[in-house]
Amino acid sequence: MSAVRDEEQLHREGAADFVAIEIVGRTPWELFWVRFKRDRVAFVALGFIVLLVLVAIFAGPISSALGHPPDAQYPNKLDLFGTPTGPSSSFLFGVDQIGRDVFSRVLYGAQVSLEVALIATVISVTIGVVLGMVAGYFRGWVDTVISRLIDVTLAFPILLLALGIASACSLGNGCVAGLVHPGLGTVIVAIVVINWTYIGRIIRGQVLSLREKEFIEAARAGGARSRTIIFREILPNLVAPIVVYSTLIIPQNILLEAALSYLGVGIQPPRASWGQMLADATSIYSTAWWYFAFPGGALLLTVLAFNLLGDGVRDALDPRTTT
Amino acid sequence: MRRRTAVVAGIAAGALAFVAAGCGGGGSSSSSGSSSGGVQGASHTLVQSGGKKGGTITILSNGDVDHLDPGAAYYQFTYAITYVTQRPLLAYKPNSIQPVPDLAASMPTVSANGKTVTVHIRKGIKFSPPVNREVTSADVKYAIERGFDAAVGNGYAGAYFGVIQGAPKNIGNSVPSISGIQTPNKYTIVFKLSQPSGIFVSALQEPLTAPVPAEYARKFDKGKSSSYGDHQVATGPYMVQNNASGKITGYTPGRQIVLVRNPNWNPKTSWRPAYADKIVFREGFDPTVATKQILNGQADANGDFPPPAAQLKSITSNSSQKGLLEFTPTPGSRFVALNVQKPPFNNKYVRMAVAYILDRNSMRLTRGGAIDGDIATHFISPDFGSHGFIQAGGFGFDPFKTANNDSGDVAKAQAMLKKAGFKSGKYSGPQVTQVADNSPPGSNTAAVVANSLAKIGMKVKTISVQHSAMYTRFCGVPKNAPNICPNVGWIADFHEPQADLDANFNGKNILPANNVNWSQLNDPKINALMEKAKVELNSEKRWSEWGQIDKLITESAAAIPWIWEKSPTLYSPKVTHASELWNGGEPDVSFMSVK
Amino acid sequence: MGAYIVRRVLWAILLLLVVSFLTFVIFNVFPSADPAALRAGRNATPALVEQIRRNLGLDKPFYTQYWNYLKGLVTHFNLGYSYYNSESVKSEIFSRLPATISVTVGGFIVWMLIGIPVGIVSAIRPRSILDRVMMGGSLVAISAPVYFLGLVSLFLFAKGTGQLQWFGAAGSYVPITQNPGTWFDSLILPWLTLAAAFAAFYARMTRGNLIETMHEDYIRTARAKGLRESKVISKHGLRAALTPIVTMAGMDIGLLLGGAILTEIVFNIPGIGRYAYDAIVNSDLPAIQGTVLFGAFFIVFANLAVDILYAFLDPRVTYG
Repeated sequence: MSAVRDEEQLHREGAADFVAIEIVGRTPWELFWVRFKRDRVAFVALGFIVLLVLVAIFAGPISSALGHPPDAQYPNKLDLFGTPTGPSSSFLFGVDQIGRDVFSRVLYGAQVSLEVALIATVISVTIGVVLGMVAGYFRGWVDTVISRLIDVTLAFPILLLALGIASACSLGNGCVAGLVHPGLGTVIVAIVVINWTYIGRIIRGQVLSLREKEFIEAARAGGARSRTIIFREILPNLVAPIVVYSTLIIPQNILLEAALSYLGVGIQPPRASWGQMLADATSIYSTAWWYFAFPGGALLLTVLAFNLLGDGVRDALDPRTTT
Repeated sequence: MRRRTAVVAGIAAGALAFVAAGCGGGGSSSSSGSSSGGVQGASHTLVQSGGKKGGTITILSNGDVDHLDPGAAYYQFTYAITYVTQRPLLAYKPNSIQPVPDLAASMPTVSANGKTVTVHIRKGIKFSPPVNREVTSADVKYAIERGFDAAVGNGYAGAYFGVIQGAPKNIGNSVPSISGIQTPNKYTIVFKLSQPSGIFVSALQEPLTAPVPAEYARKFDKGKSSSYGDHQVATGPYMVQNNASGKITGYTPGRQIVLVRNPNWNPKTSWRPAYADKIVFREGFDPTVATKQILNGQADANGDFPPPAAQLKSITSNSSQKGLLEFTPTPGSRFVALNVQKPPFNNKYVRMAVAYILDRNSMRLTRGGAIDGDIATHFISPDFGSHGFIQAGGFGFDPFKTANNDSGDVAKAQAMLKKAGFKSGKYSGPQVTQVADNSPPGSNTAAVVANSLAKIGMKVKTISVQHSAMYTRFCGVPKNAPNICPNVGWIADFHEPQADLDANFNGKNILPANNVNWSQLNDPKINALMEKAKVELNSEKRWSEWGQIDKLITESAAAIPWIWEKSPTLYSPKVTHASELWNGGEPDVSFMSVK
Repeated sequence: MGAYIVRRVLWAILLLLVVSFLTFVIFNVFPSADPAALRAGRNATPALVEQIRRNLGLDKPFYTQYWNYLKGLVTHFNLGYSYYNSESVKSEIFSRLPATISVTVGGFIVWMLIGIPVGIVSAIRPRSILDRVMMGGSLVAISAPVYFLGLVSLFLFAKGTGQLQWFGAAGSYVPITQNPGTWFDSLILPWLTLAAAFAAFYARMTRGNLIETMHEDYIRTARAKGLRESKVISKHGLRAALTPIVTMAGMDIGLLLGGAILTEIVFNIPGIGRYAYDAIVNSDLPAIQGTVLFGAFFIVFANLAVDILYAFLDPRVTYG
């Protein structure tokens, strides 16, 4: 069951939806692929995501063929009151409040969503896996420190925490001595700070049980160094859960980015972000449906596709689950 | 500059936005600056008599007042409450920008050297319960003195009353005694000024001059934060509902403010008809919903928000609703400030190129188009009329005129860039930075600015932050100031050009923090002309001097004005009202009556 | 057992302290706007701004500020006063609590009433058409951001602004004490919007748990005893399958009581989430601090309650 929701419910102690998975050991990837291919829904979702990636990469050419540059204004597409006009043959998705092509901006918005999905996921999974393994393997005070850090993070109303981090980092040259710049960097930091905890907690649990297994005992008895054991013996056994959780956390990250942009502390203009477009559309939703419908629809489809893909990947890796 | 709420909708609500409200203001002399504030949509209606007594008036708002305390209030929405509960020395009738005596018995008299201002106050005016005693000149003295107490935190005392002899330069947490405010008898108050001030008499209409009973208020003014607002007494026709001990019971922050009749108010001493028995300000409304409710008579007028553009559009195209809407000009302008202390805008010609290229028409569309106001061509706005607008050249003064409806002119801009040394006529210097609002409409305006500048090759990096941060962390802090502040503006507290231009463009006013000279313009010639105009007591001369100053500032292109706004007020079909001109169209509830 | 509870409570308090400290660091060390300048206004003299800065304690090092804050909190349960309008943060939060409770509890009822039956129906016939449609639908609901769903529902159904003018619009909330009819009307769309993702999630949880339970040995035993299938499900299956869901519901409610930020923003409901958001917009540090702490309190408290309840209910939990 892939649980990816925005609003405050992202936060969940115990991440009950993740626990259905057990360590599969070295599942042959061929087997995975065979099972995955049989899952038509997941396959379609994968197709959609591939398409989305292509759209994001070729946003420039596509928008110049079918639309207009994302930042160009067409004031004659606004009426005397500054209200935008809707879809037409030259503006497929209508225009926004300053007469920009919504179609092109939705295309470019895909770039932001995918960049965040990729970068924030890779970083939070990496941090979560490393800290989770360290905590689970060494136990003792290391485990205590890491586990308590997770507890504290999870005790925050996470959207407020993200807002705080994001607005603190949106100033001037950014935060952490200028390393994190306002915009994409800020959003990624806020997401990582929150999301590594879920992975971290799960990996820790898995390692706690793995480290008691005979082959680990054997390696330890054979005098292998801790680092070798962690990365050579334990990590390969965690590949399956890591892949599953990464796919499941992607849509969560996309939603969090959109929420932060919606709340005004995300992507910096003039870059187009779906969340930002939805925020701008809020004040005129009753007269300009196209301005919320298309970015919102794109966001929903993207998140849905990643959720379906996540389900499919999990089922294929662990056929015992019951979805 | 009083606070004014911007178009709030959706998530932008609650941000304190652009600038303050207008107030009328004649000079100290008897000049009759004609009220040029035009009201569109409806005919002028001044219901001074004949309204129906009784009933309840309901005003809807999105946000809350800033401070109930009349000494701290500095927000046009709050003023709608302050002026019907408190009686400052002077006040405005709703359809005028010319202050008239309120607590004062007659207009103040100014000595020949301009350094002594004498005001007589009315006899027989009493404070509301539980104080119940007659108001004396000492109560006005205390009211102004407490404006210099940080615990009260008045935002304009220093700017307008700092010229009084003995007014403290350093602000502490106590009410100072100011030697220059004298009370020779119970009904006379005399202000001794350290230098003549052309605007002092106009400033006497600020609520800070409304009497406060020292013996009652002192205990609330103690400490770091005064709680007099929650225990205030009234002198006007209404009072915020309170209990026997004086504690306010009619205010629930963010939800509502209930005004009831002040039993100690004597109608014979006042020109306010005060028809309704009860006034309820209901807060926390979504503008769209509130507009609906006013149109169908569930409420009577909008308080702190303009009806959203979509609704303005439908109301103005509906002949039976059109008459319910009034547009009130606001005395000031929105402008794009260019930082003249740093390259590239330390070069006058680069600034002039910007002035030519800005698509002011598209900028105006981000706020609702022509219905939101005229495109500004200089700073002193049309409703100042003979108080400086005409003298600055009126509508005819437009130094950066373009042929195409103010949509920007590449050729003229390039000509300026060539003069600035960019041989190709394209800007080729480093990228410039602007700090802008992160929510509409400010964010949209900033996007238009960036797009306009791109036409002459100027790349703009936009940092978008919350409106409050834009002012207090970036544009208002010279060391962090970006090249461009596209979302700034100023509206004068009253119709004296000094209140419009001095703070924004006098080099003397560049401060390390909370700076409002956003361009950091420090032109010795302009500074000197301003200091001279400030002490000019002859209002005709003064206004003409300020008109010249406006021209010089506009021509310097240190800031590019782009809109003189009008604020829309919607009245329900169930009430009669008077057109309010001095407070940005805030409904004057003491002149509204239930039909 | 007693020692276990004491330890858990102490840990919860410590957790709240750490949360409040981190909030202080994040928001006071990097405030997005200057509260003193905001409070003083744009026409204020520098002397006034500086005195206000001193009055707000902003000139002191942040650890001193934090210590003073903590002292007020512990000795007087004082959350401080808003920099923005000088009102007491505690009373502002409590005055907004009814709105947040209205949204949360109503939403909770809706999502439980939809989610659990849907989950059960799906579980009874896994992989049937009905199951696939409902689970597919639930995945869509899970994937839709609240603010998008909110806009769509307002566009379609809100009085005044919608295509079909059925339910109360954004910003039409009134307290239940003022007008129960309007209160209910104004909350229909927020409840449905908020409940959509939760209902979907609970449906999937219920389905998964129930299917898993139905494979347990004791269920087979019950069937073997000849009980009717409906009896087996309701008597034996559901009890086990729903326990974790009730736990989760407790934690979700705790979470939302701290403010359903996005829902409250989209529908313009004057609750705690909206207050928190406005506080961040206005750099109103005491209000930010107060709302974060308040939200954290509910989260920690819900977890604590669940843990302690488990300790009572499940003898396998060791109090180690």
